[in-house]
Amino acid sequence: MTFMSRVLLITGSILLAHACYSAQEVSALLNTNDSPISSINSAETSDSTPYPSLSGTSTRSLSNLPLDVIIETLVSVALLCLGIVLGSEPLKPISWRVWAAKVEREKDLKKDVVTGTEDGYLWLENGRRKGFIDIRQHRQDFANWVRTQDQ
Amino acid sequence: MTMTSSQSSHQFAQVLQDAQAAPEFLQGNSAQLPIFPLSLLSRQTESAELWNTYEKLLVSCLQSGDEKSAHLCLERLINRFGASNERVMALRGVYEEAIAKTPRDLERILQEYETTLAANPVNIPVAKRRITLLQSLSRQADAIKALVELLDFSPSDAEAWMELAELYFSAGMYDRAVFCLEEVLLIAPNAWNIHARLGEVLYISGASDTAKDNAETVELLHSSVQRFCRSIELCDDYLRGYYGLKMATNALFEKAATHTKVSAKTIKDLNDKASGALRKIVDRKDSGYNEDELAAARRLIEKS
Repeated sequence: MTFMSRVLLITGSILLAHACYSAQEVSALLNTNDSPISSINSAETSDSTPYPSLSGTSTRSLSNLPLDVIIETLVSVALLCLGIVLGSEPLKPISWRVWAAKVEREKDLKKDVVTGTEDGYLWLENGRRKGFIDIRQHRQDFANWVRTQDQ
Repeated sequence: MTMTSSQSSHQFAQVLQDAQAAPEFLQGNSAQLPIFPLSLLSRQTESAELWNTYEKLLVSCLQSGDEKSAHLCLERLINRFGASNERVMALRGVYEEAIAKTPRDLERILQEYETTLAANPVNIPVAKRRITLLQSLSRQADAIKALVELLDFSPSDAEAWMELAELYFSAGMYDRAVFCLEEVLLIAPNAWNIHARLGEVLYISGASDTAKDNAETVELLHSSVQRFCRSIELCDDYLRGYYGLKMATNALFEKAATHTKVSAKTIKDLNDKASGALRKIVDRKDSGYNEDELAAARRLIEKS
């Protein structure tokens, strides 16, 4: 999944960058082509509305943007979304019983001493109650275990 | 159930792994944390996790016999929190108990605990140490008395209720153990393992009664079935819960079913469901269950 998401993210980024570049080029081309008309337009409307040039150019350039650039932008954003979703961490269980089953399954797994925390209510079980730890018994059990491992 | 059976070989392997990592960890984290203005520049930051790790390492090192590393951990905890911190006092007690050689040493430690508690009777960590040491010295009655006193002024301590339940259970006072477990469930109502434990205690107290057709026994087994059902409801594919359900319903079959509030058919259905679930769990590969528990479940299915 991570490989897939990485491919999608890279493709999406390239496409998006390309779409941005294309849009910028198109607008530059339009501005040079009909600059006299657009300047006249903005001059005419500037009396009636407070932001004439802004609204005027943005609607013009958007409507003049070629369809393939618009499609490219939408596809690239969709690919990026998909890539992010696929590359995210697996979701944590939100249903109690599923979570409990996970805790029970993983209780004997090896944990890193720094990050390994006891989940759920396992700490209430025999031999796991920290406040009442019978250290001498534990030492003896451990010594016995080491002896059985050696054999 | 003794302490021995409650620790699996996985846990021992975990302890060994932790203890082996201790010297490196102690070297990697310097004893003196940088003070305020410098701490902003330092990569090493102080966190609650760090001190939890020290605590865990201390116990793991003591268990595996690496007393030097354990002493270092304790020293740093004392340097940070002071020797009069309640939790640190209890940890120092654990250390001293572990390195005690003779019974006289243990008596001396017990005396120390008592002096501490005389000065401050609500020092809960030390009170718990004292109770544990009393148990370790086979003075169960004193331990129970002390635990009851502790629970008198700290009634919302699930850990202490649980300990008292196990003490009563090992003394054969099942009804009192059941009461304590119910108190734990008031504090932690969704604890599936405590429900299962309560079911087990009820089952054992019911099954230990040899008189047949005893209404009281049937009543106990009924409650036991209910508890196991709840534990299964709270935890998917809970081997311990299904095992208990199967045992309890089997026992209800043996004791005459005439007294039952619940119909015999319901009991039969529950028994079948437990068998089915157990078979499914046993047949599954790489399920993450304990080998001993799986073997026990296999035997139970084959018997029926």
